[in-house]
Amino acid sequence: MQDTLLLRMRQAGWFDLLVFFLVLAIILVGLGVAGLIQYNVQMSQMAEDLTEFEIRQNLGMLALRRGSFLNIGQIALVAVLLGFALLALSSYLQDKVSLQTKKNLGRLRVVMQYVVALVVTLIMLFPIYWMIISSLKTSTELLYPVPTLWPREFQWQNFPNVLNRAPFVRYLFNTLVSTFFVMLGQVVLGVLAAYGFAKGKFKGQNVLFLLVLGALMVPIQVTFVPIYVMISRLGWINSFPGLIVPNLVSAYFIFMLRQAFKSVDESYLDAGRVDGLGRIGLIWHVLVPMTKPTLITISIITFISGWNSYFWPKMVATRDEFRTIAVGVTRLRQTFAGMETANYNEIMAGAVMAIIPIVLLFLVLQKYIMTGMSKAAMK
Amino acid sequence: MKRRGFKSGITPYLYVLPAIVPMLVFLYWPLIVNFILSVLDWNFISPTRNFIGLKNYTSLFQREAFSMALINTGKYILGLLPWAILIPLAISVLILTVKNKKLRDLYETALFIPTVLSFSVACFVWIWMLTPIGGVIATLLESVGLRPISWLADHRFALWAIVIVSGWRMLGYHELLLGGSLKSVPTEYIEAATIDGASSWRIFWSIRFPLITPTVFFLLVTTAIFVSDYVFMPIHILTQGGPYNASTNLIYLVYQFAFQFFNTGLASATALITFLLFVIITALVFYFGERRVHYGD
Repeated sequence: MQDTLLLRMRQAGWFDLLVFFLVLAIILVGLGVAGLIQYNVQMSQMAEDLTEFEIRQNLGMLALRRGSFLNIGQIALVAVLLGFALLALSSYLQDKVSLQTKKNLGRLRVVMQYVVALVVTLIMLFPIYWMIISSLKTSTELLYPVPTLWPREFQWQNFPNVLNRAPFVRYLFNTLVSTFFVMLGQVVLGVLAAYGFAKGKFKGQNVLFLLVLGALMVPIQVTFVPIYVMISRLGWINSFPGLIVPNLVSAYFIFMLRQAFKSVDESYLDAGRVDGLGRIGLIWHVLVPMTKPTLITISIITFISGWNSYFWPKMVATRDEFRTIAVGVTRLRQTFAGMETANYNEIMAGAVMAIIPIVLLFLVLQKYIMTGMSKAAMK
Repeated sequence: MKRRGFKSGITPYLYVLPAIVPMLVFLYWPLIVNFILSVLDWNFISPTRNFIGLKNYTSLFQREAFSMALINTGKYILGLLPWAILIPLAISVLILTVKNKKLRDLYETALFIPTVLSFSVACFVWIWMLTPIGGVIATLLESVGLRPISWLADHRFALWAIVIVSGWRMLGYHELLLGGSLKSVPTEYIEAATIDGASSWRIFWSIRFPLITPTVFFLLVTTAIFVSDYVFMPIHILTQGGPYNASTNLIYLVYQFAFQFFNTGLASATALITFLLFVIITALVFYFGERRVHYGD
């Protein structure tokens, strides 16, 4: 009996996890006991007239950690033993309960699944809810010691107020223009390069492609000092070229699209050639239609990350005429400085206005993005 | 019809070079200039640049901010690993067995929304939520009997607040990637194992997980490399690296040296060290990680 019970418990799979935690708990308890012993030894060696502060200094880490390992270890040990007991009970009862009860238990599990999923979603989306709600509150309501979950009084005035204080329309315009041109450049240059890498064969191809792969690894913060110097020599600080030109090529775009182009069979290209298509024609009439989902997905991702990009626009655009929205929002805090806590409703109103376009775009194109992304994951 | 020319000659270069040249100009050339700047003493505007050898580097290693940034860079990577892999994996396993596809898509969309938002905007929402007085999180903590924490002003919590904010944004994207690859595991394998009487736990570890290790490995690499870049914005908006450099990291330090102290030498030296560190981390992850990855057919 004992043997089969143990066997059943091991089959349940949770067993391995419980054993892992058991080992962990034992290690913790061991550490705790060792720490406690060391603590007592050191205490007994110390002179008796020391002040509390000096004792703490002498003990260092020990003073802080005294017993806490032991406590955590004990709790973990009890939890693990409880887990084992539950597991033994369920394994014991496994074939003693009726089929009906089993079905009900299964249903309970599904319900639990939904509940956990719902809770996770609520936590994840709470900041967005909070942003919208706060943007409609009055300044007085923001100062309540206990925040209200729903505005007592809707203050739509916050939105016009923000528009008066910062040139949000201008920010939006700048973001649209720079993002559009960045995306245009990345798509055109990316498609050409991806075609060259996927279907061409030339000397130095591997070296050049290594350059693309390496570019994936270098964040802008590593290279921005020289780029900034370069751009300022060109007189492009506070200008659209300054915002756009350094971002015209995306290694990510080339990399992803090359994979997609590679998967298009050579015979399609041959068929296109028979029909008298030139190279540009081949790209436009054969490769692009055949890789449309990937192309659209990466383009959208490019657009979204361009829209949200913060670091470079912040460096290059120091005047309101060229600020983008992601940077512009940070201006709200500075403009209203001095009354920081009281004007979060206006900052939140600005935030809501800044995210509306991109969230709308996402929701409209959501199908493309989601399927494209999970496909990318499968490769 | 022959594929004329594309296998040789200069035509392929015409397609590749328009992308490669800007890359050389705006990425690889700056990387070299960066190295040159790191041995010079300069402040962006002065006409003279003096060669000072490795002084920038030695001065870096004596600064407390640098050692703090170095340690914090590691803390950020370790702190965000659960958000990048464990939690999204748990969530995608949780909804894997939900049969209603529409509901599943809706769920994934909802989780993905934080990734779509401008991070700078999201950071402001979090500042407002983390405010110790009148903030919603402080109220929540108080209601369960804990003392409210001034997250962003306390050197013990500032870094972890940023980890939470970044993790919140990262979660949905990684869930989508992991969920996508979990769905691509052939159902025949699972059915066969179910018939053999394997528990769902065992099925996960023996069948599903080994088959998605390429994705997990990919996320491991990208997390190790990109976290430092990813947390720049929350650091900049939430704490400015403070209090007392408790939440700074190497990349934020580069920015501070360049645009607060106007010291291009220190900034470039830090940038170079950061870059080398990324290369080492990537090499290590590949060395220890790749042999555990099962690439399918």
